[in-house]
Amino acid sequence: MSERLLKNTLRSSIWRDVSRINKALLKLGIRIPVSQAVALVEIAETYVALKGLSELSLSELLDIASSVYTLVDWSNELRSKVLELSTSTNKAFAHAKLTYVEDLVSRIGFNNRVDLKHLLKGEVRELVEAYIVLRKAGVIRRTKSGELRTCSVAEYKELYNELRKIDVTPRDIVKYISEVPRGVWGSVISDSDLAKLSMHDLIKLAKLSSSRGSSLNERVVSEIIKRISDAASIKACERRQLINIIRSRVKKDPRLLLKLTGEVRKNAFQIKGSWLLKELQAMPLERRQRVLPNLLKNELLNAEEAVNGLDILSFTNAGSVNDKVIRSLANLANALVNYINYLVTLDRGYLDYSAFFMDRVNVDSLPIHLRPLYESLVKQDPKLFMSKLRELDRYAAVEYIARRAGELRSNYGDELIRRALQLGLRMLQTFSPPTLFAKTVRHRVTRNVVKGEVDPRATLYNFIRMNYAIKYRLHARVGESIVVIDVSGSMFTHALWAVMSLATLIHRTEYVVFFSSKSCVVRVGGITRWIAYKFLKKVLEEGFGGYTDLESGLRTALRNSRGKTLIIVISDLKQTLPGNPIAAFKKAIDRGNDVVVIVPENHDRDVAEAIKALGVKVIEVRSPLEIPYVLKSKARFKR
Amino acid sequence: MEKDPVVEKVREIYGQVVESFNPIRSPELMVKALRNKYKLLVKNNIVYLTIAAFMNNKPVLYEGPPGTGKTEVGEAILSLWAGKRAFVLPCSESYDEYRVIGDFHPLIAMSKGFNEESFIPRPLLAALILDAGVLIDDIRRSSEEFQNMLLDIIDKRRIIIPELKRVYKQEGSGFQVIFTSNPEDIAQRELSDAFLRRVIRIKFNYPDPEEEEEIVKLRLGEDYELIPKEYVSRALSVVQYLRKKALYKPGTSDTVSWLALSIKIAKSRELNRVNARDVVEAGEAVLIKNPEDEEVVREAVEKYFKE
Repeated sequence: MSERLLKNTLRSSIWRDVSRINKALLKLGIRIPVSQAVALVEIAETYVALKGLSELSLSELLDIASSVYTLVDWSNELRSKVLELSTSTNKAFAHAKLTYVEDLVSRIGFNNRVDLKHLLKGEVRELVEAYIVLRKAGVIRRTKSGELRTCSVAEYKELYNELRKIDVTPRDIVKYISEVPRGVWGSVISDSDLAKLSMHDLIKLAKLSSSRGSSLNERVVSEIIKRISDAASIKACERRQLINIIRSRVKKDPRLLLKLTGEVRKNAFQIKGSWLLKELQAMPLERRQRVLPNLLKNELLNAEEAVNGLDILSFTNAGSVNDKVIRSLANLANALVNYINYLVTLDRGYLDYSAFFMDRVNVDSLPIHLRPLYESLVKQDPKLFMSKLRELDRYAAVEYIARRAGELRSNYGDELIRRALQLGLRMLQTFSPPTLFAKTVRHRVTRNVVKGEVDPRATLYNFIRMNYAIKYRLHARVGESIVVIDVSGSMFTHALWAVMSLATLIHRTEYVVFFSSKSCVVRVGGITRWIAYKFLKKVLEEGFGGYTDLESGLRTALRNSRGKTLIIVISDLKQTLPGNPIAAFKKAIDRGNDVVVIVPENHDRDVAEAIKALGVKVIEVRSPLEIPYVLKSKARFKR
Repeated sequence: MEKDPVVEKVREIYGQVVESFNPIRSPELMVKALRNKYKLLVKNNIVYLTIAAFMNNKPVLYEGPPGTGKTEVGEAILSLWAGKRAFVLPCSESYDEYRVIGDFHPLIAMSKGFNEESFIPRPLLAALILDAGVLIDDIRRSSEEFQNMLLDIIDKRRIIIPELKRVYKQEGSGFQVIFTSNPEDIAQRELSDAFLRRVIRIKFNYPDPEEEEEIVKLRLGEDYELIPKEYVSRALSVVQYLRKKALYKPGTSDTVSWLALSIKIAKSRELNRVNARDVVEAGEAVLIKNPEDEEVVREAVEKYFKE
């Protein structure tokens, strides 16, 4: 292991010096073939290993270069020129590096605790490199208590000369990256660093940078895919490890499947259609529409499975797929969305457009369960159309209406919102918990009533009939919890599903607070429909992409709470307006409330960590479909 | 398994020449062995670079003026590396594949055809089969076709004999190739870029006076005591002077032969120590290789040995 480690370190430093020599030669008009540069590195590596050196000086390397670069006519003059050119770049490099190191040390001070979060501004990569130099030299070290602290002035003076000699390799970056705030990882690790990483380091980095959507994660995954595809250069065990990483990433984000080349995908990822469907259902509608055609074209998803497993609105972009049924579905979906647009805007242009798509639908190849919807569209009967759509895909339809209303509002005015609200409510007319977890939810249902005072009449009635059990009056449960729901743009799908799942908890919920840039309190009073109405109203009026004021939402909830209450927050914890949500959470806890926060995967991890420390229960859900389950089981009502 | 008649033939013919001993592949031990066993004083860098090249299966080209020990050092390093005496192929213009790989005996070939029986293996093929080193001396004297033929062998490490429908591949790591060349010599060809790109070039230069004295001391052994130290240093000054002025540049080997000859002259005169006359006589005999240099040599020797 240590031998490999040594080899890697040497390789990187020798490469750097070789490229310096090559650059110097290029400046003098001499171009070196790649094969000779590679030969020089190989010979120099062997030479260093034979001599048992830890590093090779530039002048020694130049001696070897004069043997390997046989096409160059080496003279003493040329040699000294090359040496001068390559060391001058070296000196400038060392000087720049030292400037950053000194700058960082002066800002941290001596014998102080190191908090990089506030120090990394401006040239982040250089500062992180300077930090790594300080860590390697021992100027910044970890104490027994786990803190990072700088050394004393006297020690720094002793170590100062060493600082210039220390180089930062990609391996070092991986080693110390976990000490650097996550936010800057992407700008610290470049693509060329990734390419230079050994397989072991790449796997280590992949495990560290697993958060979805980060640019570094995407680049790491691309690098892994590149290495898997180049099967000749990796060992079987490494390939297996890399494939496992990709599998776990694909589970988080099926779009990744599209990046994999045919052979790798065929051999390594035999994805089950049912799993892929579940992932697709959990995506927001817009993304689902974008991803589906690619999945179908690349034969990752069977057309039949897609037809049976997905809502009709997902097929709007699938017109180019070479399948008769899918093409027909795509035309129907486009006719349908245009008809919805017409119903919301009353613009006849949309109706014509809908009719255009209807003409192109091949009725024979349309699945049987979609025929009634098709017929309702042909008849152009809004009531019939809505009832059929409600039966098929009410959640997707609400999502689509909410999104379109936000987009079209500026053109059609507030009247559009009213119509969208009506349409949305009609879609949500009969509530039932979301279907995916229906079974789980059904047998977990607790009674929505509490035991009241003794009922003398019923007890006596029973007593006469030799039944001596005392009969109590039953009351509906009320006012045990407040649900705070983030309805800003990024959280729409989660909020919709939260509202849907509240249908089963309605008797235990006192208030629902919807918040984006402003907060809106809905007193429930046992009526689910009212929550849905308020929710839609809030979403449609505010539109998507509003700012988030989590603090104000929480404070509103606290103002409306009486005594100890369970506060359930559904939010990504990203405060985009000035405010301190952590303080609001602290206040809620201090008052003796139980606080449960349900967060999506892409949330503010720093805030999550901070509130966890306060005693808040943070539950991460991978998809909005998990919200009903979490609400019913994890955030159980215990009072 | 059936024995290959060509391999058998190679063992029969060349087995007599190739003595086997324990190979030495550590550069430090090799430097010591070169000094003790072969009486060669070689710079560490030359040994380290040569071994690094061998470890990467690259041939080495020793380049330098005559008399700097290229051939001797090359042969010794190859022998130590493989643990077998190396083959030396002194190149000439007429060298071709039949002289280095193998040939067919004309009479046997006429009666029995071009087969193993009529095939006569030559040193390069023998070295590949026996896993020994090859020193190809004065590569610049060889023809361009010969150099091109070598490219395939040094690249792929295999020799193809189409007439026998056989391919012989390198099996151990003992088969390594060192070329020597002297670019300043007359009647030389240029080496092609393709050839140069494939080799590691190590330059040999005349040693410093101190190093040269050390070499002389090593090569002369006990006899070195017979020459006054002052004469040795004067002889070295003469050699340095001639390297600048004369047409024929004396190498280290010439210095050694000069002083060895002067000792022999002194011994023949039954003297205990070498005197200036012996040195001058021997110098004139050894150093004048070219009639045009006669004056310069005499002038130099007289200048330094005038008592």
